[in-house]
Amino acid sequence: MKGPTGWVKLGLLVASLAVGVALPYLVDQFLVGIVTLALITGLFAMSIDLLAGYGGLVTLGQAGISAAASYGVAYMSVKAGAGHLAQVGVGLLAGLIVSAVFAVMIMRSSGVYFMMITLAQGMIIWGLSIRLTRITGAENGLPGVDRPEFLSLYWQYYWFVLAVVLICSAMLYVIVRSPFGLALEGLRESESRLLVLGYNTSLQKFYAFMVSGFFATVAGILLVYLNQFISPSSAHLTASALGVLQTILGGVGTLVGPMIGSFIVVYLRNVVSQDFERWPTLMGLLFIVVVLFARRGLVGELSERWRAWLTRRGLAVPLR
Amino acid sequence: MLAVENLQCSYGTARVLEGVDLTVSSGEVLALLGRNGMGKTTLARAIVGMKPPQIREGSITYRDVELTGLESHQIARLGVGYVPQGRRVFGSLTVLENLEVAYRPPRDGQQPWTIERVFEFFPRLAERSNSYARNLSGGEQQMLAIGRALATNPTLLVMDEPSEGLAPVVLGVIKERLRELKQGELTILLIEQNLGLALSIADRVVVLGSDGKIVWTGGPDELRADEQAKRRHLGV
Repeated sequence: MKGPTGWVKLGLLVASLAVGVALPYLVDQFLVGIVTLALITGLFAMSIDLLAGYGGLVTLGQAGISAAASYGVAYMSVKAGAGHLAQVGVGLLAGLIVSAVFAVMIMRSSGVYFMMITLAQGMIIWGLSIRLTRITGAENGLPGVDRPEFLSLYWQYYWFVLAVVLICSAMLYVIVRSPFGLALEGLRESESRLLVLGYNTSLQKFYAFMVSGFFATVAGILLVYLNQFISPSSAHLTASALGVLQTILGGVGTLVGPMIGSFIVVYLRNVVSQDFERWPTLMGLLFIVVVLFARRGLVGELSERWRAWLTRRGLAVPLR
Repeated sequence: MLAVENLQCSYGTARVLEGVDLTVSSGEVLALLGRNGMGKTTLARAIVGMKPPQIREGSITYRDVELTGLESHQIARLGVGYVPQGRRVFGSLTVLENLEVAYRPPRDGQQPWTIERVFEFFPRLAERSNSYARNLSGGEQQMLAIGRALATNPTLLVMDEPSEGLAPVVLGVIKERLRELKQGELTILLIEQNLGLALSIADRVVVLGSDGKIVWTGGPDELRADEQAKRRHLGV
């Protein structure tokens, strides 16, 4: 614990955990469903943040990976009638294979080229999901993906998602603080500097993309069991871009930020939209305001202000 | 240890080096001098495998391994450390993290550089180990850039203008540290504008001239005495 900041972080963590665990007792089924969705898209956004916020590699095709995992699960469930273990296994495999193929394609690129290649990759999955009618059901999608017995009720599945997302968040937290994560930050700052230190940066990008792809895969599997349905729009650029938007909204390179951004976007989309048809306008305005006045995103800006406030009061651990 | 033969480099169509020959023997400090724009940094970049420049012709061998055609990271793993011009530390990482990212276990039989040893070597870095590198002063960043290169446990250190933009006091510290490195039998290729620093450390001096070739070779005392060469090739 380093001074007040550490205590505040611990307090917020404990409080949100307590609310998170108690949630099914506090609110109705609809809101629990919304929070479940926000947790899943939050994990998805965190997988983008690992690449974009730490490695400086902004991906616009992450939804392709998640959707591949979702389709793997849905195909095994709806078309093949396999058990849940096989469904999850094929979902994982599908997500990781797509990640690996994508990773080989991007490992020598960076910057705008990286963005354009990933954009195309995501849209390839979208295109395939429309064309491979026998596997994906084309525009109709694959409905009727049932959850296992012990997760069939909405609150059971909520707790399960909460646990998985917590474990994944902890893993991400450890990863970004590991030597691998530090080298990833080095990659964002300067690839050539890492090269002369003896890092094979192409290989490093491959690994980073695979790790990120793993978490996107997990998010895809969780999502298909929540919606019990998958359709091509899950792979579309819009879905990938929404993940990037959540990340920027909450704060790039903070991990917590993308999760909070996800809660805001899901709230706007699913709750505000009931009373206000033009919720995308609202989201656009919010995005503009954040980019103009809080360029580090909500979490990034808040923590910066907090530190400045502490410094003014002479309480801060001196700025490192 | 390092042999450059007939090296010709260019940036696109602009030719910079037109046949450079030089050798650095084991344990030696070779100072590479020359006016601005003669291609000193180009030579350093070519040695550590950075692109650009393109190598048009010639060879660079290090311990009998041909370096032209290898990737930067492969050259670094052969034991060539690089301190780039303008310091270039990782600003969003702390001092300690910068060193951790760089650290590579030593090859056979040399006295290993650990992060602790880098901190002993530059006590100022130890004091600031939890500071973000972007908040360091210029001199501290230079210490970190050198420390980071040392943490890779190199056998040859290529330094591009370590004195650039440093206050005189800091320059004194760096000079003293470089002397110590020299006694530690590290081989150094030192690229410098600062004649005083270069001459006080180097075992041998080569001067890169405007025709993209080495125009003068000799000991530091010889250059000190050679007023004509200094005026013609270095403008001092």
